[in-house]
Amino acid sequence: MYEFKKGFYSDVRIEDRFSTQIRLQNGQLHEAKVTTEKKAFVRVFDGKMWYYTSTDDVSSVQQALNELYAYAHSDKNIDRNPIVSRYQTNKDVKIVFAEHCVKDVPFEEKLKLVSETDAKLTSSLCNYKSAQYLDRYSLYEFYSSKGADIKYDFQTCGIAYGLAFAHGEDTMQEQLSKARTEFSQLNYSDEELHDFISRCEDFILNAKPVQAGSYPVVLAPIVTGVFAHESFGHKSESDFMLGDEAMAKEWTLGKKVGSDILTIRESGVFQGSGYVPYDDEGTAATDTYLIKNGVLTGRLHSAATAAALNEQLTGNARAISCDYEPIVRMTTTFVESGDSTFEQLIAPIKHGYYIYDFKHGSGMSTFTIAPNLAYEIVDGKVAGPVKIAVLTGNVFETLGLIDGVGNDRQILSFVTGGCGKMEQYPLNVGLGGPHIRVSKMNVQ
Amino acid sequence: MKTEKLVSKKSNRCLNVVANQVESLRINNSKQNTFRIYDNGFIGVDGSLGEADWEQLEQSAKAKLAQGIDYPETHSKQRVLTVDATKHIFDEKDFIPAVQYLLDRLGAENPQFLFSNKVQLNSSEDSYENSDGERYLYRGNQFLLSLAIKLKGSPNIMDEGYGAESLDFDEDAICRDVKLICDAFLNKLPHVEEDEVTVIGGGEPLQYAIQHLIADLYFNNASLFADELGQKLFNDKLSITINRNPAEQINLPFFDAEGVVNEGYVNYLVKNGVLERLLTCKKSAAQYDTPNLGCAGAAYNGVPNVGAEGLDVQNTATDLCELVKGKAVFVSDTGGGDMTPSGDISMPVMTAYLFENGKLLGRLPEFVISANIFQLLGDDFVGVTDSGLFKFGKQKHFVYKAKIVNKA
Repeated sequence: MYEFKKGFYSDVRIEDRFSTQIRLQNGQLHEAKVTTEKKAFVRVFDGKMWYYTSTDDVSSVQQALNELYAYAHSDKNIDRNPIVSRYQTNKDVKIVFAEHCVKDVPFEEKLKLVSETDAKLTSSLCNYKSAQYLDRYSLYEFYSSKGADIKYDFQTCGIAYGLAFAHGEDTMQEQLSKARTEFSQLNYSDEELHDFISRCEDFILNAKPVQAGSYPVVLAPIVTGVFAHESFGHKSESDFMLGDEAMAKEWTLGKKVGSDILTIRESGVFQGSGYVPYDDEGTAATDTYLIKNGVLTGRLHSAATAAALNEQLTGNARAISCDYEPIVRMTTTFVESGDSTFEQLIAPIKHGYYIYDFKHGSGMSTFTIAPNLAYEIVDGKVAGPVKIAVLTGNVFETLGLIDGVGNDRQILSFVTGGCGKMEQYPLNVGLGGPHIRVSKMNVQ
Repeated sequence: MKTEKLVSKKSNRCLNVVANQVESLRINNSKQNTFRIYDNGFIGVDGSLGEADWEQLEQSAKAKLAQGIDYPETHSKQRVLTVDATKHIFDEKDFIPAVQYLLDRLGAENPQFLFSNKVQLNSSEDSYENSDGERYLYRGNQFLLSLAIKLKGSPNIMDEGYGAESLDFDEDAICRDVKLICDAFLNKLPHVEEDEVTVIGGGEPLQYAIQHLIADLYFNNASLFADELGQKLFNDKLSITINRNPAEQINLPFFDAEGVVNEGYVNYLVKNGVLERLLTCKKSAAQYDTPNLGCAGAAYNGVPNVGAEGLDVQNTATDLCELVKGKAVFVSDTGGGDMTPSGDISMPVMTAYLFENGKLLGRLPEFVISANIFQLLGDDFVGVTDSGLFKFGKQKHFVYKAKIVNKA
């Protein structure tokens, strides 16, 4: 298809992306946009340096390749390069969303869905509402000088509502969202909407400040997922180990890094916002145990990091779009189920907190989760709502303080936001887990 | 009826740096085109990538008027203005060798650290024109440095960061700044004894206030600052602007996404502590009958919306030492703080240094900044300066007093 020049490794990634965005503010239509973009990202490697370019004119890909070859220097042994030799040569067509493609759903149906649900979200304490319908269908193609020839698709759609409540001098904003792979799965029941409003009203009317300190904490599945993603997922991205031999020794597989009941997995095979059947280097998705029973068992790789650490590819080289090169990123990261019920997790807690959902999270040496809705736990029972700005803790200490894992694992998808790493934001990822209990976290 | 055409051309040369080595060169050139039409109180928009077919875009935008998206049709006087703010930074052939030389020098001068991430040369050309005869053209460029600094053997993804944008490449200044940070990082100090300190930061607390100054939230009683428009709300010394002055900003058009050019390129959100305006686009300004701040943003094929490009805090001092008498805590890296519904802020600090007499003396253990937004921007606000510590680029220092808790 393309004329790949000898003496170089080259590949071409093409994304044909269809997306819809509908936005309402206080019930009024503010945006109604359907976007179709077809772009290509072209890479050339000469064994010493990579050369990249992108184009929104896919008919000019060959010209782009030729321009990059002019920058690079031919290497007759390029096929024996440890990075190049790792690249897979998959030939596959994996189209799984075409029969339920969001492109085929009339725009009016999308507008009706988001508007009708919006109209049902009412509260005398809610002063401002924004509503969004978002979808995306991407058809990917990948070709390499080693012979890879792959075509696959990705789809996500969802509705998201942001509500601002006020009472006295307090204000709060909360989001309700649902992301799925098929449009037909996006409905909310009246009961779900009523429960959401009731919970928000209870919070704005009754939430009390907390006394900052260290407490036992139970995290809801969505918060467990954020914790896994932020606290350990990013540390599993192997590019931060490049060039640092001491670091590689520090992170030897087999090292104990968490409590015995903690297992964290990472996989691109789950259909949802972290579905990545092939990564942006043409590597097939794998199932990677990052931590198994508290022991470091794996990490995430691109071909360059796998070659540097002499490990296997994991299918985690990803870019947010055809404007960027792939770097090591997560797909779907989650904590595996344990054997406790929610009631068993909270039962031994005399005084602690239940974190129901979150606004945002981040993680370096210290992780931070900013909760939205949170509740006090008193004498083993969930009590009233509390205002918590952030939960924080040292990552490695906290991984060792997980002393209860629920039996209710959920894998969750998202239609707004995403993962950020350096210049590339937002990347669609999935995350999840069960309820977990941490014996001690800093609550502010 | 009114029509608008916008074109945005971007050129980017981006070097990825891995452990002190230039690993890749990325070459991106893009062009985005926008056509908007306003008629009978509605807006229609369409856009494209690459070379524009304006007739087709106009037809498509006209057809989208039928979507019924309300938007005010505002008119303006004929005006033509071109600003070329570009400066010569590198010949393209010199870019990679110069950056690699810089990295070699940083590595040699700071042998216990590894330097990674991006070094970029960007240029842009943005134009706006409408059927009233307004025609604006801006050209700009920048050298953008964003280094992730890692102590060799550290279990962290990165331990420090250094970044700046500039219209020149001053290798000596960069090396001096980075060495200042690296030397201080290696000198571990115990916690300061005080529980209330002077903090020198990058303006992180402002982000919590800004979202409450969006007109849509403010006028729907969902803002912490409800009913305070026109009132003294913050410290006398605090002035927050939308600043698109080409003499002060780098690679930022002097007009917003709706072609609004503020007088002197500056408009006040907060002036001397008084809440003067709110973050608006033309639509929200008209909807709430409030003056427009001129800070609209827009996707190339989307309806304009409120943005915050050019948000700036005016300097209150010409040097950091004017603001900080004695000791202070210099906050370099915070991790995901937030604010409660009552305005209480908690901000975990991962990297901070003790600052005294214009110098970074050493690295402090981790702690959490605890403050209230009203107090922090009120009595506890000390001032702002972009001069005093770093020599390369313009890096703003936001100084305030706060409690520090959770000393590790």
